Amino acid sequence: MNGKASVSKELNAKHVKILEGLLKLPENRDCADCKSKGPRWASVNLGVFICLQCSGIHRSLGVHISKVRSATLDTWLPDQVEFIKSMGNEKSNSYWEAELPPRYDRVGIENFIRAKYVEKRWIPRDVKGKSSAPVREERIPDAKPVPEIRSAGYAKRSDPPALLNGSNFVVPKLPKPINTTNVQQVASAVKLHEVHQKSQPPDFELKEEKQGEMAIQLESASKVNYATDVSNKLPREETKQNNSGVSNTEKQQKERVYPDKAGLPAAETPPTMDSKVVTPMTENRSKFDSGIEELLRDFQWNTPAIVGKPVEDAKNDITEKPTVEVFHPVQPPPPAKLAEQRHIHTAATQRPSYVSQSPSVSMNQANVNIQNWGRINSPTPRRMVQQTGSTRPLNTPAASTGLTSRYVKYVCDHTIKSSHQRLKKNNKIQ
Amino acid sequence: MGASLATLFDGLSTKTEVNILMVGLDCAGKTTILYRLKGREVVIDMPTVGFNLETLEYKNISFQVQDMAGQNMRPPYLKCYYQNIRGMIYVVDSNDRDRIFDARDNLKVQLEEELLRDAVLLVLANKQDLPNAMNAEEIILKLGLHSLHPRLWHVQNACGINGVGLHEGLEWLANNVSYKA
Repeated sequence: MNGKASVSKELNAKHVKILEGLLKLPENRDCADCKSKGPRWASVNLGVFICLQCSGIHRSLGVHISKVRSATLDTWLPDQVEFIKSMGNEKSNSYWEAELPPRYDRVGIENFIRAKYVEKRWIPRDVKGKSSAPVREERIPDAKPVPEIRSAGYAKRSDPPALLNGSNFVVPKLPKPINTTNVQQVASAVKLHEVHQKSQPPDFELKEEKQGEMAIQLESASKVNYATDVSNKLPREETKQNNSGVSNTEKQQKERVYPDKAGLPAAETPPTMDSKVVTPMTENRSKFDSGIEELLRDFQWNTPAIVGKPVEDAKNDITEKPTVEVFHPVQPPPPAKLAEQRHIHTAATQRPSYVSQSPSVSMNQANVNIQNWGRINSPTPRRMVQQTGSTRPLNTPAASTGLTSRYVKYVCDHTIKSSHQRLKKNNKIQ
Repeated sequence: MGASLATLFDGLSTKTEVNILMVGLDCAGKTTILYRLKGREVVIDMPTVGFNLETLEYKNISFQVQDMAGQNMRPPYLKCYYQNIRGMIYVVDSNDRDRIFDARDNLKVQLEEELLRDAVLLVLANKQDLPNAMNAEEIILKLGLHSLHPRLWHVQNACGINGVGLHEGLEWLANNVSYKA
């Protein structure tokens, strides 16, 4: 148990050499806290080299925060040497001073050190406590909740939350009156959905039914709009042709498959089916298995064009632009990641329904929906707030002084905190 | 007993001088305790190099307290200072659970010193204000104080920063050190 006694003289000499070598590194030539030259002391659990004065302050923090040893006079344990070798002042400060304003005045060095290590005032915001283990041993429990926030947080932020709750997250969420331009995308979304079905066989029938209905509804809706809206004629005709083709095949599939189906796992190709029935499905599936990337790429190319249209039409719908902006952070990641298929899927199927709204129909409704997401579940605004948090007003020279900056900082911190809490709550619920 | 001693000392007009050695691992709080007893406000001090020597007046005893450096920074002729030591204050950082066994071994080494044979031992369980601090019972167990049988020892909870328990410790010392020359 006695560590020091186990360190032989040879080992100690070796450690001394290593530590001397570390002290000669340019990053370790200044005290990690007060930047004075030639530190000869170290905190073995924080992994920093500090000067004599700062070592006194570190000692007063207690060993649960910082364990001070002399780099030249003390006997070090092997794992302590290994740790400080792996850390050093630069790496350690990149964690502890991540959020430190560049020209921070370190006059009250004691207060500074306390704020830095005890209050952890400047550690990275969104990774609070996460740490690539900047602290040895007992501090790690503090860090636990955080990776969860990061990994789950990103995914959840980019998902429209309402869609994740129900099992049926594609069709029912579409706003009822839907434009023709939608239909193509919805139809392709249906195919995407089909690919997704593989993992969820039991829902298949229901969903496909609904999708079929949806397709029909969409077609009828498109006819209505078609009559009223003249300006979008050309593109709509094209899409309509595409649509009718696709949705027809959908319907045909449905009609054919249903009678045979009876209890077979839907997503797998039933061996008893006759070849006629099987072929369209398998064709479709293999096509989309291989061609998901292309499909998604199409999505990304399609949508901006559609969004752009109303502007060209000079319809003067102001709400169009905000919609795009709000959606920007939610855009699906590069389609190559099939592992995130689900997120891509929801995003992709969702996007057309809002973004591609033509101004004449239910624009307000869609917009309200999006804003509500923002306010209630705040996947996107949280990110935006974080950005403002990271480029905190203290950094900018313009706002570096006075009450306002402090107030802004407070507000930022507050919003970040509350959004953290909210996010955690969401995680729990889901 | 205390009362009889008090009357005894009242009879002696001159103050008795007693040499006390204060040791412990580095960062245990020896210097802070010493200067706290001296009445100085010590918040932060750097690691002691060599030792600090202070005289404390307590009742009518004057303690010559040597606060030895905790690190390997002692002067090699240390034993010269061990003359006529009547009592030893061993300071333990109660919050440092990792090194309590280091402290035990260190204490054992210290007490093996021939010159400290007659010294009484006061263990100050320092830093009781910190969370997760060990209490006196735990420290007695971990330091193996029961094995020191013939020696007189006492454990006192203390906090060097706010001075809690220090005077109780001195009180015990005053009552238990032997005053014969």
